[in-house]
Amino acid sequence: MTNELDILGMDEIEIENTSVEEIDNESVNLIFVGIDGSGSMGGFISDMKNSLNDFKDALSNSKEVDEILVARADFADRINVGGYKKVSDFDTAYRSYGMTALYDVIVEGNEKLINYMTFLKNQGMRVKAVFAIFSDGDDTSSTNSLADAKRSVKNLNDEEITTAFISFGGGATKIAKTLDFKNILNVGSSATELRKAFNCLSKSVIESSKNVVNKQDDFFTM
Amino acid sequence: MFINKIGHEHKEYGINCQDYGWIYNNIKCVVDGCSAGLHSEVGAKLFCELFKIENNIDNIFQKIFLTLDNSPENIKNYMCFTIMFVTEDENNYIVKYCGDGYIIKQKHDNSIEFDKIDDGEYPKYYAYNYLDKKYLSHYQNGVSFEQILFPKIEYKNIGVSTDGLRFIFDKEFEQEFIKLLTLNKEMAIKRLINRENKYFKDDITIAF
Repeated sequence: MTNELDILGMDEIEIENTSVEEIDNESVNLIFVGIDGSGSMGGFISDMKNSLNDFKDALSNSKEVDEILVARADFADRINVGGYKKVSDFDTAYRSYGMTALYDVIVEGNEKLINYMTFLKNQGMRVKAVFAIFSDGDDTSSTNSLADAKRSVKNLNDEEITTAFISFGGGATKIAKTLDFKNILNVGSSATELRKAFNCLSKSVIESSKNVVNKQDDFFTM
Repeated sequence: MFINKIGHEHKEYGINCQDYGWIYNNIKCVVDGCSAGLHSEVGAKLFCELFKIENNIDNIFQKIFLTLDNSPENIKNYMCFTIMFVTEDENNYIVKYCGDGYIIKQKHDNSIEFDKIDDGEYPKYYAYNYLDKKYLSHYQNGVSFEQILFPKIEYKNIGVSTDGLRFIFDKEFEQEFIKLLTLNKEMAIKRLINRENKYFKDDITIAF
């Protein structure tokens, strides 16, 4: 049977993400950023857009930009896990609505990250990864269970992927600990703190790209 | 294109990468430290760094001996390494070498050929010139650089490689490797070496 995704000689995973040929490096740092788009973030839409722009600018202006691929995953009522793309392709749009499918984004995010990571390693790439979640609250609408999400975070930790959670307003700190994220950053619920959080995330991502070995702890660089 | 990769067996046994090299000011240089030396990469790297700023080989060795004196032990442990480099003038690529390795030749039709430079069991290390004859079972009359000219009218590009290149031959990936060389795909070759790491037992350095 003809698989139309093979027409260009590329695997499906390369179409969804970045093809190996497009990565002008033998080392890559995969950054998963899960962003809470639930209704409770409604008061911060324009601040979030600014923060995402700052995040993108900071990565774009770093020397490590050629080694970084970012996947943006939005979660609200539903989830949308994007592929790993160059920083220049990072989407900074933002809207908020509905509930918080936190567990679902963790489960699918883990699966897609591990698949792409394995694919790249099989192509001879040196791969590190960071799995970061930004959320202001606990899960309210996932089809996956807490146990599923915990298993996914454990898998990420076992694979020596840096797991990081930014708890906006402190409402998600407890669940981040329960899920066993190795790095948890608590920030207050204000526009300034939001900016601070993404500023910290970009610095931490850049620092992690400089290191040869992935740091599982002490990820956040203030 | 410049590639410098540690060999699989070097990693397995915890031995440093003993190859080194660079492409600088239109000169392509590779060096390959002798694995019988304790840390031949030390002399090899010092040589390379000094060779960037000084082209008299004997002066470079003398400069190194100001730090590592030229005792037979030091020469054996630090200073035995193959040297190969390519320069060019208006009409020719000029390969000079002392020791073994490969010359990589690309013709104008893009075809690639390899010339193996092989001294047999005893590679010619330039450092032998600084040893008393009584310590040498071979090359007691000294060693010198060989030179080969490759006319630009015939060749599009000439490069050099350490003997770690031997591990591409008769492997499934040989043609892929050669195709990537033809296309000048440096990163893709690095990834291929990473991917097929178990076959690349020795360090490999390519300046092409």
